[in-house]
Amino acid sequence: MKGMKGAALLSAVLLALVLMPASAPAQEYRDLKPSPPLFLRGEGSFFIDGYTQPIAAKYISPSAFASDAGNSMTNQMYVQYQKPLEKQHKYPLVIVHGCCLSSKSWQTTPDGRMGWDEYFVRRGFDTYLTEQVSRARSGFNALQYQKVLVGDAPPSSNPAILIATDAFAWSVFRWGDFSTLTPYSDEQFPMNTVGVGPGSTLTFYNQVIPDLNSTLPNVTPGCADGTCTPSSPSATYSTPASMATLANDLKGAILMGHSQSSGYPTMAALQPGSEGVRGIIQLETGCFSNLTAADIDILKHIPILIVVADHFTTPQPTPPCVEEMQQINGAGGDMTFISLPAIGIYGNSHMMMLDHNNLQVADVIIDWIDRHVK
Amino acid sequence: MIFAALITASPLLYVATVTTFGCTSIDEITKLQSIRLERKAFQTELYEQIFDGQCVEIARGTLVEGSIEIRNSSMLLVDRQIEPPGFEAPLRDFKLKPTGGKK
Repeated sequence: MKGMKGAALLSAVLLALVLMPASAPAQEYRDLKPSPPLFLRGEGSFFIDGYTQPIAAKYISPSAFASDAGNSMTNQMYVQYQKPLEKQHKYPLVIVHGCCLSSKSWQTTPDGRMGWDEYFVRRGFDTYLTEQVSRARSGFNALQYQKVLVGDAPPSSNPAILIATDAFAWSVFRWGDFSTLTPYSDEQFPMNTVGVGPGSTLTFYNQVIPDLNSTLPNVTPGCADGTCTPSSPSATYSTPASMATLANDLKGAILMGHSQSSGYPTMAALQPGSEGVRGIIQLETGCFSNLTAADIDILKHIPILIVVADHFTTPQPTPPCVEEMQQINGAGGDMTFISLPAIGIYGNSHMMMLDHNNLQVADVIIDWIDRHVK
Repeated sequence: MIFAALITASPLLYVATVTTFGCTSIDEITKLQSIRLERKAFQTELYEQIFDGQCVEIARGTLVEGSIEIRNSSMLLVDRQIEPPGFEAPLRDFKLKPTGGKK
């Protein structure tokens, strides 16, 4: 239970929390839609441990506090959870967001409707939202930037920060033609939150934040002086490693990633010492065509679901997904591919969790869980 | 084959000599290599692959754990020990880090 050290777990206490719209998180208060009371038996937050690194006096800003040189916690992963009053599923759901976003992606939609976090709780899942390591409320390693600031490293050595723009969002989220702000005719994303139509806002873009993933270490402490030895989860601090720790702590969990993080559940399952991943849900790809026989031997015991939405210009599933499905299913595993248009659900964007029919898409996932995760 | 297996069983440290990339698919690496000189097309493809979690950028000077890919000796399998199943990357963009006799 290392990762839950310090957690405010209230499982022994039955809580009836009524979350009325007035207290629900959203970016535009006026847009909040009413929803019935939500009854919980627990809620809280905690961190999966990071590691401490020494910070020399010269790297403390402002320098007036240089005498406070010491150790600083780095790359810890923030987790928040809600547990429904009546748990209806064996395993909890652990969800991680994609590039340039945070766990806000799963909460109230930019136009004020119910997000997936609340919906999964209402459908009886213990639901855990995680922030990727180095993003939002999780920790990140700022030391390199300080080294550049004081001249101990060249500016070119700073890790790149990924900044997503509106133009990029229109392209990769598959909304339509950015040059004319014309969405697809059947687009399900709430386009009035990205500047389309009279009275529209730019509310969605409040969710888009800089991505500092390139600050994460490629080489772990203890692996930097010549030859590598296999790492243990406790020696690494990436998001997949922290998700593996969380799944272990929970004694079993279904992991769901999206886009940039769509491969993280698989990577978590393959971490040394990982034994808690009971289901993998990867939204919009996350496939691997570089799996070893040992990897497949692990993954064939874990049900895997791939979900893709509409308006792709390239064939789906992608070649890596075809290859992985052949490998996993050929080994006796259970890997499912669902294209939403193929089952009659049209117009969804890359951000299907925020689309107008987001709860319908969530039902597709819940139905798969009920039939495949035992 | 036996030699390759021995190599993959003993990951070593490599240094990226240029800013490069790693992907979960050899085919994607091959595709990116084929358009590498077409700056805009290359950056667009790489950016989208990074966004989708299929590739990562590896900055020049980055130290990675790596082993020669058994299926394609022009590829380096990067960070398999740290983040399995790891990423494929163009071997020619890396040099082996001298160990200095340390174990």
